[in-house]
Amino acid sequence: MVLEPDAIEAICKAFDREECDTAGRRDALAECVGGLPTRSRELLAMRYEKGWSCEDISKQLLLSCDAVYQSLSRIRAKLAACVDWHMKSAEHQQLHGGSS
Amino acid sequence: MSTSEHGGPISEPIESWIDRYLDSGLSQNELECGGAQLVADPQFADRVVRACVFDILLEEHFAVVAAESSFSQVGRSQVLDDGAIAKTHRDPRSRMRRWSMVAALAASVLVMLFWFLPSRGAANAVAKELQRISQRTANAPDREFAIRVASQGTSRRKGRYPVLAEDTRPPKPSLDGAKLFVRGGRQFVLMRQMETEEWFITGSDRVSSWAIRPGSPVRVSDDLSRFDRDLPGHEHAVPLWNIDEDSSILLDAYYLSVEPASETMMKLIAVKRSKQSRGPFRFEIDYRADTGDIEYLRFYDMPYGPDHIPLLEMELVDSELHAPEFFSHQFHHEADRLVERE
Repeated sequence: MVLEPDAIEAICKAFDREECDTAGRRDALAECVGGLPTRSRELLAMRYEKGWSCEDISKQLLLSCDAVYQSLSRIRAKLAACVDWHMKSAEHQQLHGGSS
Repeated sequence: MSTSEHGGPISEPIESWIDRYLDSGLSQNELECGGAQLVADPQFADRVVRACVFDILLEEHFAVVAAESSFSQVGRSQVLDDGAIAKTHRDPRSRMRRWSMVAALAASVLVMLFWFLPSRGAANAVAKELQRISQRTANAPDREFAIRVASQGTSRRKGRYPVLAEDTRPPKPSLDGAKLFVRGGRQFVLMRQMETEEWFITGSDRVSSWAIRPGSPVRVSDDLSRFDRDLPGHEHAVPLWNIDEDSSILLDAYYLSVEPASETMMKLIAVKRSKQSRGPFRFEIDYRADTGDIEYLRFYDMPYGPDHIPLLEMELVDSELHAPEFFSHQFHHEADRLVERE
Protein backbone atom coordinates (compact mmCIF):
# COMPACT_ATOMS: atom_id res chain seq x y z
CA MET A 1 0.00 0.00 0.00
CA VAL A 2 1.28 3.43 -0.91
CA LEU A 3 0.51 6.65 0.88
CA GLU A 4 -1.08 9.36 -1.20
CA PRO A 5 1.17 12.38 -1.77
CA ASP A 6 -1.08 14.61 0.33
CA ALA A 7 -0.76 12.22 3.24
CA ILE A 8 3.03 12.24 2.94
CA GLU A 9 2.88 15.99 2.93
CA ALA A 10 0.71 15.94 6.04
CA ILE A 11 3.28 13.88 7.93
CA CYS A 12 6.17 16.00 6.76
CA LYS A 13 4.36 19.15 7.74
CA ALA A 14 3.78 17.68 11.18
CA PHE A 15 7.52 17.06 11.54
CA ASP A 16 8.20 20.58 10.35
CA ARG A 17 5.85 21.92 13.00
CA GLU A 18 7.48 19.87 15.73
CA GLU A 19 9.82 22.30 17.46
CA CYS A 20 11.39 19.97 19.95
CA ASP A 21 14.43 20.78 22.08
CA THR A 22 15.77 17.25 21.83
CA ALA A 23 18.90 17.81 23.91
CA GLY A 24 16.92 19.40 26.73
CA ARG A 25 14.30 16.71 26.61
CA ARG A 26 16.95 13.97 26.85
CA ASP A 27 18.28 15.45 30.09
CA ALA A 28 14.79 15.93 31.47
CA LEU A 29 13.83 12.41 30.52
CA ALA A 30 16.81 10.98 32.39
CA GLU A 31 15.69 12.80 35.54
CA CYS A 32 12.10 11.72 35.13
CA VAL A 33 12.96 8.07 34.55
CA GLY A 34 15.12 8.21 37.66
CA GLY A 35 12.10 9.34 39.64
CA LEU A 36 9.92 6.42 38.59
CA PRO A 37 9.15 3.53 40.92
CA THR A 38 11.50 0.58 40.42
CA ARG A 39 8.80 -1.61 38.92
CA SER A 40 7.99 1.01 36.30
CA ARG A 41 11.65 1.38 35.40
CA GLU A 42 11.97 -2.37 35.08
CA LEU A 43 8.99 -2.48 32.78
CA LEU A 44 10.45 0.27 30.60
CA ALA A 45 13.81 -1.51 30.53
CA MET A 46 12.15 -4.68 29.29
CA ARG A 47 10.44 -2.74 26.54
CA TYR A 48 13.18 -0.29 25.54
CA GLU A 49 16.47 -1.83 26.62
CA LYS A 50 15.81 -5.49 26.07
CA GLY A 51 13.43 -4.86 23.20
CA TRP A 52 10.89 -7.37 24.42
CA SER A 53 7.46 -7.45 22.87
CA CYS A 54 4.40 -6.95 25.02
CA GLU A 55 3.83 -10.67 24.77
CA ASP A 56 7.32 -11.41 26.13
CA ILE A 57 6.80 -8.94 28.96
CA SER A 58 3.40 -10.33 29.82
CA LYS A 59 4.87 -13.82 30.12
CA GLN A 60 7.70 -12.57 32.29
CA LEU A 61 5.44 -10.61 34.62
CA LEU A 62 2.49 -13.01 34.47
CA LEU A 63 0.19 -10.25 33.24
CA SER A 64 -2.14 -10.00 30.29
CA CYS A 65 -0.91 -8.23 27.16
CA ASP A 66 -3.57 -5.57 27.66
CA ALA A 67 -2.28 -4.91 31.16
CA VAL A 68 1.22 -4.45 29.78
CA TYR A 69 -0.02 -2.07 27.07
CA GLN A 70 -1.91 -0.05 29.64
CA SER A 71 0.99 0.04 32.07
CA LEU A 72 3.39 1.19 29.39
CA SER A 73 0.87 3.77 28.25
CA ARG A 74 0.45 5.14 31.77
CA ILE A 75 4.19 5.28 32.38
CA ARG A 76 4.83 7.04 29.08
CA ALA A 77 2.09 9.57 29.80
CA LYS A 78 3.56 10.20 33.24
CA LEU A 79 7.02 10.62 31.79
CA ALA A 80 5.81 12.94 29.04
CA ALA A 81 4.10 15.15 31.63
CA CYS A 82 7.22 15.12 33.79
CA VAL A 83 9.45 16.07 30.84
CA ASP A 84 7.07 18.87 29.85
CA TRP A 85 7.16 20.16 33.41
CA HIS A 86 10.96 20.13 33.42
CA MET A 87 11.10 21.91 30.08
CA LYS A 88 8.68 24.59 31.22
CA SER A 89 10.58 25.02 34.47
CA ALA A 90 13.84 25.41 32.58
CA GLU A 91 12.22 27.89 30.22
CA HIS A 92 10.81 29.86 33.13
CA GLN A 93 14.16 29.85 34.88
CA GLN A 94 15.84 31.07 31.71
CA LEU A 95 13.34 33.89 31.32
CA HIS A 96 13.60 34.79 34.98
CA GLY A 97 17.39 34.77 34.84
CA GLY A 98 17.34 36.92 31.73
CA SER A 99 15.12 39.59 33.26
CA SER A 100 17.01 39.94 36.54
CA MET B 1 -11.89 -3.75 17.12
CA SER B 2 -12.29 -0.10 17.84
CA THR B 3 -11.82 1.32 14.41
CA SER B 4 -14.56 2.16 12.00
CA GLU B 5 -14.56 0.93 8.43
CA HIS B 6 -11.56 -0.16 6.43
CA GLY B 7 -9.31 2.83 5.80
CA GLY B 8 -11.61 5.19 7.69
CA PRO B 9 -10.60 7.35 10.58
CA ILE B 10 -9.89 5.68 13.89
CA SER B 11 -12.63 5.84 16.44
CA GLU B 12 -10.79 4.72 19.55
CA PRO B 13 -9.07 7.28 21.78
CA ILE B 14 -6.11 8.70 19.92
CA GLU B 15 -3.74 8.07 22.84
CA SER B 16 -4.68 4.41 22.80
CA TRP B 17 -4.07 4.10 19.07
CA ILE B 18 -0.69 5.81 19.34
CA ASP B 19 0.37 3.68 22.29
CA ARG B 20 -0.56 0.49 20.52
CA TYR B 21 1.18 1.75 17.40
CA LEU B 22 4.38 2.32 19.39
CA ASP B 23 4.13 -1.13 20.94
CA SER B 24 3.40 -2.86 17.61
CA GLY B 25 -0.07 -3.81 18.79
CA LEU B 26 -2.11 -2.63 15.81
CA SER B 27 -3.67 -4.77 13.14
CA GLN B 28 -3.12 -3.95 9.47
CA ASN B 29 -6.60 -2.51 9.24
CA GLU B 30 -6.02 -0.33 12.27
CA LEU B 31 -2.79 0.91 10.71
CA GLU B 32 -4.67 1.79 7.54
CA CYS B 33 -7.32 3.65 9.50
CA GLY B 34 -4.61 5.65 11.20
CA GLY B 35 -3.10 6.43 7.82
CA ALA B 36 -6.37 7.91 6.65
CA GLN B 37 -6.64 9.97 9.78
CA LEU B 38 -3.14 11.32 9.35
CA VAL B 39 -4.31 12.90 6.14
CA ALA B 40 -7.54 14.23 7.57
CA ASP B 41 -6.32 15.51 10.89
CA PRO B 42 -3.08 17.53 11.19
CA GLN B 43 -3.38 17.54 14.96
CA PHE B 44 -3.37 13.77 14.94
CA ALA B 45 -0.23 13.80 12.78
CA ASP B 46 1.36 16.20 15.27
CA ARG B 47 0.60 13.87 18.15
CA VAL B 48 1.95 10.83 16.33
CA VAL B 49 5.14 12.69 15.56
CA ARG B 50 5.56 13.85 19.17
CA ALA B 51 4.97 10.33 20.45
CA CYS B 52 7.53 8.90 18.02
CA VAL B 53 10.14 11.44 19.07
CA PHE B 54 9.51 10.60 22.70
CA ASP B 55 9.70 6.88 22.02
CA ILE B 56 13.08 7.25 20.33
CA LEU B 57 14.36 9.34 23.22
CA LEU B 58 13.31 6.55 25.58
CA GLU B 59 15.11 3.97 23.48
CA GLU B 60 18.24 6.10 23.42
CA HIS B 61 18.03 6.67 27.17
CA PHE B 62 17.91 2.98 27.97
CA ALA B 63 20.71 2.20 25.53
CA VAL B 64 22.88 4.73 27.35
CA VAL B 65 21.88 3.35 30.75
CA ALA B 66 22.77 -0.17 29.62
CA ALA B 67 26.15 0.94 28.28
CA GLU B 68 26.99 2.95 31.40
CA SER B 69 25.97 0.08 33.59
CA SER B 70 28.34 -2.21 31.74
CA PHE B 71 31.18 0.27 32.16
CA SER B 72 30.64 0.65 35.87
CA GLN B 73 30.52 -3.11 36.29
CA VAL B 74 34.06 -3.45 35.02
CA GLY B 75 35.24 -0.31 36.78
CA ARG B 76 36.39 1.40 33.62
CA SER B 77 33.93 4.22 33.25
CA GLN B 78 36.81 6.67 33.05
CA VAL B 79 37.57 5.32 29.60
CA LEU B 80 34.56 7.20 28.38
CA ASP B 81 36.49 10.47 28.39
CA ASP B 82 34.23 12.41 30.71
CA GLY B 83 31.22 10.57 29.48
CA ALA B 84 31.55 10.27 25.75
CA ILE B 85 28.04 8.97 25.49
CA ALA B 86 26.56 11.73 27.58
CA LYS B 87 28.56 14.25 25.61
CA THR B 88 27.24 13.07 22.32
CA HIS B 89 23.74 13.15 23.69
CA ARG B 90 24.10 16.73 24.83
CA ASP B 91 25.57 18.24 21.77
CA PRO B 92 23.62 21.30 20.68
CA ARG B 93 21.06 20.24 18.14
CA SER B 94 21.70 21.87 14.84
CA ARG B 95 19.04 22.51 12.29
CA MET B 96 20.54 19.85 10.05
CA ARG B 97 20.25 17.28 12.80
CA ARG B 98 16.69 18.27 13.51
CA TRP B 99 15.85 17.91 9.88
CA SER B 100 17.61 14.59 9.72
CA MET B 101 15.79 13.29 12.73
CA VAL B 102 12.60 14.53 11.25
CA ALA B 103 13.33 12.67 8.06
CA ALA B 104 14.26 9.54 9.96
CA LEU B 105 11.12 9.65 12.01
CA ALA B 106 9.02 10.38 8.98
CA ALA B 107 10.58 7.40 7.29
CA SER B 108 9.89 5.24 10.32
CA VAL B 109 6.26 6.21 10.50
CA LEU B 110 5.71 5.83 6.82
CA VAL B 111 7.52 2.54 6.50
CA MET B 112 5.58 1.04 9.36
CA LEU B 113 2.27 2.45 8.32
CA PHE B 114 2.48 2.40 4.59
CA TRP B 115 5.56 0.45 3.55
CA PHE B 116 6.62 3.55 1.78
CA LEU B 117 9.67 5.70 2.21
CA PRO B 118 9.33 9.34 1.32
CA SER B 119 12.07 11.32 -0.33
CA ARG B 120 12.72 14.59 1.45
CA GLY B 121 15.42 17.18 1.33
CA ALA B 122 16.73 16.26 4.75
CA ALA B 123 17.02 12.59 3.98
CA ASN B 124 18.73 13.46 0.74
CA ALA B 125 21.18 15.70 2.58
CA VAL B 126 22.21 12.85 4.88
CA ALA B 127 22.42 10.43 1.96
CA LYS B 128 24.67 12.88 0.15
CA GLU B 129 26.98 13.13 3.16
CA LEU B 130 27.08 9.35 3.34
CA GLN B 131 27.94 9.22 -0.32
CA ARG B 132 30.67 11.83 0.15
CA ILE B 133 32.23 9.83 3.00
CA SER B 134 32.05 6.58 1.08
CA GLN B 135 33.58 8.08 -2.04
CA ARG B 136 36.38 9.53 0.01
CA THR B 137 36.86 6.20 1.78
CA ALA B 138 37.09 4.42 -1.55
CA ASN B 139 39.76 6.81 -2.81
CA ALA B 140 41.60 7.59 0.40
CA PRO B 141 45.26 6.66 0.94
CA ASP B 142 46.19 3.79 3.26
CA ARG B 143 45.02 4.32 6.78
CA GLU B 144 45.68 2.67 10.12
CA PHE B 145 43.13 2.70 12.92
CA ALA B 146 43.76 1.78 16.54
CA ILE B 147 40.87 -0.11 18.08
CA ARG B 148 39.96 0.17 21.73
CA VAL B 149 37.23 -1.71 23.50
CA ALA B 150 36.04 0.55 26.28
CA SER B 151 34.64 -2.35 28.29
CA GLN B 152 34.49 -6.09 28.01
CA GLY B 153 31.69 -7.75 26.12
CA THR B 154 28.54 -8.82 27.85
CA SER B 155 26.60 -11.94 27.10
CA ARG B 156 23.96 -11.45 24.50
CA ARG B 157 20.72 -10.79 26.28
CA LYS B 158 18.14 -13.46 25.96
CA GLY B 159 15.21 -12.55 23.81
CA ARG B 160 16.75 -9.46 22.33
CA TYR B 161 17.89 -10.95 19.08
CA PRO B 162 17.08 -14.11 17.17
CA VAL B 163 19.61 -16.82 18.00
CA LEU B 164 21.93 -17.58 15.10
CA ALA B 165 24.52 -20.26 14.56
CA GLU B 166 27.44 -17.93 15.30
CA ASP B 167 26.04 -17.29 18.76
CA THR B 168 27.20 -20.74 19.76
CA ARG B 169 30.74 -20.31 18.48
CA PRO B 170 33.68 -19.95 20.90
CA PRO B 171 34.71 -16.41 21.84
CA LYS B 172 36.75 -14.54 19.26
CA PRO B 173 40.12 -12.88 19.90
CA SER B 174 39.59 -9.54 21.58
CA LEU B 175 39.36 -6.45 19.43
CA ASP B 176 40.89 -4.41 22.23
CA GLY B 177 44.30 -3.21 21.08
CA ALA B 178 43.70 -4.46 17.56
CA LYS B 179 45.02 -2.63 14.51
CA LEU B 180 43.03 -2.14 11.35
CA PHE B 181 44.76 -1.18 8.11
CA VAL B 182 42.55 -0.08 5.25
CA ARG B 183 43.21 0.66 1.60
CA GLY B 184 40.35 2.20 -0.32
CA GLY B 185 37.02 0.83 0.66
CA ARG B 186 37.71 -2.84 0.04
CA GLN B 187 41.16 -3.89 1.19
CA PHE B 188 41.91 -4.40 4.84
CA VAL B 189 44.19 -6.11 7.33
CA LEU B 190 42.85 -6.65 10.85
CA MET B 191 45.45 -7.68 13.45
CA ARG B 192 44.23 -8.95 16.79
CA GLN B 193 46.58 -10.06 19.52
CA MET B 194 45.75 -13.31 21.25
CA GLU B 195 46.40 -14.17 24.88
CA THR B 196 49.61 -15.88 23.77
CA GLU B 197 50.68 -12.49 22.37
CA GLU B 198 50.68 -13.96 18.87
CA TRP B 199 48.73 -12.14 16.20
CA PHE B 200 45.56 -13.44 14.58
CA ILE B 201 45.39 -11.67 11.23
CA THR B 202 42.56 -11.48 8.73
CA GLY B 203 42.39 -9.46 5.55
CA SER B 204 41.42 -9.00 1.97
CA ASP B 205 43.30 -7.71 -1.08
CA ARG B 206 40.29 -7.53 -3.42
CA VAL B 207 41.37 -10.83 -4.99
CA SER B 208 40.80 -13.09 -2.02
CA SER B 209 40.08 -12.88 1.66
CA TRP B 210 42.17 -14.74 4.18
CA ALA B 211 42.81 -15.60 7.83
CA ILE B 212 46.08 -16.41 9.55
CA ARG B 213 45.54 -18.01 12.94
CA PRO B 214 48.70 -18.96 14.87
CA GLY B 215 49.35 -22.66 14.75
CA SER B 216 46.87 -23.31 11.93
CA PRO B 217 47.05 -23.37 8.15
CA VAL B 218 46.37 -20.09 6.41
CA ARG B 219 42.79 -20.03 5.15
CA VAL B 220 42.13 -18.32 1.84
CA SER B 221 38.79 -17.81 0.11
CA ASP B 222 37.63 -16.28 -3.16
CA ASP B 223 34.63 -15.02 -1.24
CA LEU B 224 35.79 -11.52 -0.36
CA SER B 225 33.38 -11.28 2.54
CA ARG B 226 34.47 -14.61 4.03
CA PHE B 227 36.71 -13.09 6.70
CA ASP B 228 35.42 -9.56 7.03
CA ARG B 229 32.83 -10.26 9.67
CA ASP B 230 35.07 -9.24 12.54
CA LEU B 231 35.57 -5.77 11.15
CA PRO B 232 33.69 -3.46 13.49
CA GLY B 233 30.27 -2.88 12.05
CA HIS B 234 30.54 -5.58 9.44
CA GLU B 235 29.03 -8.35 11.47
CA HIS B 236 25.53 -8.98 10.23
CA ALA B 237 26.10 -7.08 7.02
CA VAL B 238 26.48 -3.51 8.16
CA PRO B 239 29.23 -2.47 5.79
CA LEU B 240 31.24 0.50 6.92
CA TRP B 241 34.39 0.03 4.90
CA ASN B 242 32.65 -0.51 1.63
CA ILE B 243 29.63 1.69 2.10
CA ASP B 244 30.00 2.82 -1.46
CA GLU B 245 29.04 -0.72 -2.42
CA ASP B 246 25.65 -0.64 -0.82
CA SER B 247 24.90 2.40 1.27
CA SER B 248 21.22 1.49 1.01
CA ILE B 249 21.84 -1.13 3.71
CA LEU B 250 22.78 1.63 6.10
CA LEU B 251 19.97 3.86 4.98
CA ASP B 252 17.47 1.05 5.42
CA ALA B 253 18.74 -0.22 8.75
CA TYR B 254 19.56 3.03 10.54
CA TYR B 255 18.19 6.44 11.33
CA LEU B 256 20.95 8.72 10.14
CA SER B 257 21.69 12.28 11.10
CA VAL B 258 24.58 14.64 10.54
CA GLU B 259 25.67 17.49 12.74
CA PRO B 260 28.75 19.68 13.21
CA ALA B 261 31.15 18.25 15.82
CA SER B 262 33.57 21.19 15.78
CA GLU B 263 34.72 23.90 13.41
CA THR B 264 36.46 21.38 11.20
CA MET B 265 34.69 18.11 11.95
CA MET B 266 31.28 16.65 11.24
CA LYS B 267 29.60 13.78 13.01
CA LEU B 268 27.34 11.23 11.37
CA ILE B 269 25.13 9.50 13.91
CA ALA B 270 23.31 6.29 13.13
CA VAL B 271 20.74 4.67 15.37
CA LYS B 272 19.31 1.28 14.49
CA ARG B 273 15.74 1.32 13.27
CA SER B 274 14.77 -2.08 14.59
CA LYS B 275 16.01 -4.19 17.45
CA GLN B 276 15.52 -7.20 15.27
CA SER B 277 18.30 -6.21 12.89
CA ARG B 278 21.65 -7.29 14.22
CA GLY B 279 24.17 -4.53 13.68
CA PRO B 280 25.44 -2.17 16.39
CA PHE B 281 22.67 -0.29 18.16
CA ARG B 282 24.30 3.02 17.38
CA PHE B 283 27.46 4.21 15.73
CA GLU B 284 29.06 7.55 15.14
CA ILE B 285 31.54 8.60 12.50
CA ASP B 286 33.62 11.72 13.01
CA TYR B 287 34.91 12.99 9.69
CA ARG B 288 36.59 16.06 8.32
CA ALA B 289 34.06 18.55 7.07
CA ASP B 290 36.21 19.62 4.13
CA THR B 291 37.40 16.26 2.80
CA GLY B 292 35.09 13.62 4.25
CA ASP B 293 38.07 11.72 5.74
CA ILE B 294 37.02 9.51 8.64
CA GLU B 295 39.05 10.10 11.79
CA TYR B 296 37.09 8.48 14.58
CA LEU B 297 34.36 5.88 14.92
CA ARG B 298 32.38 4.69 17.90
CA PHE B 299 30.16 1.64 18.02
CA TYR B 300 27.66 1.23 20.83
CA ASP B 301 26.25 -2.15 21.80
CA MET B 302 27.96 -3.95 18.95
CA PRO B 303 27.48 -7.67 18.31
CA TYR B 304 30.77 -9.57 18.33
CA GLY B 305 30.42 -13.32 18.15
CA PRO B 306 28.37 -14.46 21.14
CA ASP B 307 28.95 -11.16 22.95
CA HIS B 308 27.92 -7.56 22.75
CA ILE B 309 30.58 -4.89 23.10
CA PRO B 310 29.07 -1.89 24.92
CA LEU B 311 31.47 0.62 23.36
CA LEU B 312 34.22 0.18 20.80
CA GLU B 313 36.26 3.11 19.53
CA MET B 314 38.45 3.38 16.45
CA GLU B 315 40.91 6.19 15.97
CA LEU B 316 42.87 7.07 12.88
CA VAL B 317 46.52 6.92 13.90
CA ASP B 318 48.41 6.85 10.60
CA SER B 319 48.02 7.46 6.88
CA GLU B 320 51.30 5.95 5.75
CA LEU B 321 51.37 4.19 2.40
CA HIS B 322 52.11 0.49 2.75
CA ALA B 323 53.77 -1.87 0.30
CA PRO B 324 51.51 -2.87 -2.60
CA GLU B 325 51.36 -6.47 -1.34
CA PHE B 326 50.65 -5.51 2.27
CA PHE B 327 47.01 -6.53 1.96
CA SER B 328 47.83 -9.99 0.59
CA HIS B 329 48.21 -12.88 2.99
CA GLN B 330 51.71 -13.78 1.76
CA PHE B 331 53.01 -10.55 3.24
CA HIS B 332 52.10 -11.71 6.75
CA HIS B 333 53.44 -15.27 6.96
CA GLU B 334 56.42 -17.39 6.02
CA ALA B 335 56.56 -18.58 2.42
CA ASP B 336 56.43 -22.25 3.45
CA ARG B 337 53.33 -21.91 5.58
CA LEU B 338 50.53 -24.31 4.67
CA VAL B 339 47.67 -22.58 2.83
CA GLU B 340 44.19 -24.07 2.56
CA ARG B 341 41.72 -22.71 0.03
CA GLU B 342 38.06 -22.69 0.95
